[in-house]
Amino acid sequence: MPSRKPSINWTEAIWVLGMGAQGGLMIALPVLAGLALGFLLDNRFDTLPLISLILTAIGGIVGPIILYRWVVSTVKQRMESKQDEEKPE
Amino acid sequence: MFGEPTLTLGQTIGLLSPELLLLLAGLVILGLDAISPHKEEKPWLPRVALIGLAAALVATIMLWGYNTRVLAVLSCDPFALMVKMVALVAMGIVILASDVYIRAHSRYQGEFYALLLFSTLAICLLGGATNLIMVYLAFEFLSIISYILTGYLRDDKRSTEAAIKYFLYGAGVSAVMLYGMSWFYGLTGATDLAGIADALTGNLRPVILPALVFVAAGFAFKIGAVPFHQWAPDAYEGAPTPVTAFLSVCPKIAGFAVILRVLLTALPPEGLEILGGDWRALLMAISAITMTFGNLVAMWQTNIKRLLAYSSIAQAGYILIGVVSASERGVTAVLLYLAAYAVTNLGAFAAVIAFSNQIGSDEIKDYAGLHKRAPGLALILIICLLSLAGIPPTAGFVGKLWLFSAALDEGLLWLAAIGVINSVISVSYYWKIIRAIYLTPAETEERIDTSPALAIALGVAVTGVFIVGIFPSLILSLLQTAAQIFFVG
Repeated sequence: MPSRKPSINWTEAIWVLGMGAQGGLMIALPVLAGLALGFLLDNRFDTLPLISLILTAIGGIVGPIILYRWVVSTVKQRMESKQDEEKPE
Repeated sequence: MFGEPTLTLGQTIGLLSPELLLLLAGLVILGLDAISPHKEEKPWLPRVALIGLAAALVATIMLWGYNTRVLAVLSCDPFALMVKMVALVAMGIVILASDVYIRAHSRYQGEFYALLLFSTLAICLLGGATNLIMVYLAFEFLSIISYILTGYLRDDKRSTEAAIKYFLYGAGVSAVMLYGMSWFYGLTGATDLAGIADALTGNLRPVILPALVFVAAGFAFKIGAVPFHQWAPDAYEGAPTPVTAFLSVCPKIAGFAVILRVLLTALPPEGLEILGGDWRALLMAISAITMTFGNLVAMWQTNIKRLLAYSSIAQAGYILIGVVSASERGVTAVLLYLAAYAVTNLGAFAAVIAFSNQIGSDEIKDYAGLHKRAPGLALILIICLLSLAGIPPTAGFVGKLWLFSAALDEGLLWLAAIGVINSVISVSYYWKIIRAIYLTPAETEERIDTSPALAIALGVAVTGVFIVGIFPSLILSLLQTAAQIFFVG
């Protein structure tokens, strides 16, 4: 068996780090946005913590849905591009 | 809660002996696999893995009665030891069920068993983790092994696709959970769970809330609870079937162990009423939605692996009922249900593997007439499905009884009622499989044989289903001792 020198594919590593960060933001941002908006509205209508809790919960539900849709489309694109690369010219 | 004992090296090694034995067994398998002259046939690999698990189980049993901290980030207490015992038995069934499948589908058998042992090591660490950093590291350890195992069949496009989806989704959730943990550290200056509890006050509620949501996201991902469940059906369907069995049980054991320890130690409802009330309210909503969603979607599935995936999502919802009860009875119920769920679900998956090994299909319609082609296999599969539905005298019935009664003790009648309604709904889709097996005529009379290892896995699982179902008192006192550690003092 031919020996191969193990090497780090930095492009792939950075891609993965970027994906993780992007995915994390997709969950975190809706929660934080819901909380901030809820806090503003609660202060305005004197309903603390009702609207904050509702909007935080909505943010918590929306985030993972966005993340999943993004994951599915990213994986689809990646699998298609891999298939294109493997096709004989 | 704990003293800070100064342990000698020998005592530390003794208290970590289950973990060290698993590590050693995994490394021995890798070493023997590398130097073995036989490249294809290695029937001894699962035996070595089982010896490692058995040794770790004996070491765990011998440690029963200890309640002390190890290396400042781990605890060797009855709760941690009970989680380890359940994980070790569950992994034993997974390894027995994997033998024929992995030999038929992959050349890399040594790595497969070593990864299973390392994942058990990660679950053992999570069972005893008392520090957020340890929790995160062990979580990632388990997650990375799960991603690798999901994509283990490198030549299978579905397996690769499932692994990439699972990995990307997991990476995002992991980042968010770490972010939430950093909030806890920023607010309290502590990563130790007891230290966090000491530093937290009700005044921190507005800033603790998002941190709680972020950390709960990580836990919900691990146990496959809504809305972090989307990875589960794809990963379960695409992964090799023994890995699906592993994914359906082992991360859940780890996830629930961590949820109980983190929430009951760092945010105890008795000491921090407001914050304790917040996480209980959050998990109550997740529990109700998770069991309802899982059961409703499972009704439309035609692939047995996807059906069991949604069933396992629903099961996570049931188990959360015990968590939100936040009582000694609730924790006992969670541990009892985890043990019952582990043997039941692994028994069902062992039957699916036996079927898939010969027929090569996971479609429910192909199970038609199974009772004539493999009567024993059909019977065991049905017993496991009835247990998942919570029909007496099976383990699932006793587990649900304890979960719902724990909720009633805490005045959560509505949650127990949703649980009961969902149990009734679940009968409809388990019945779909039973109908195919017994009432639909077979297209062929070809018999389905089960390998000796799979037969042992099925036997162990079904014995566990009946022992927990008929004689729960055999383990209840141990489970109660394990649950007490969160409520004494």
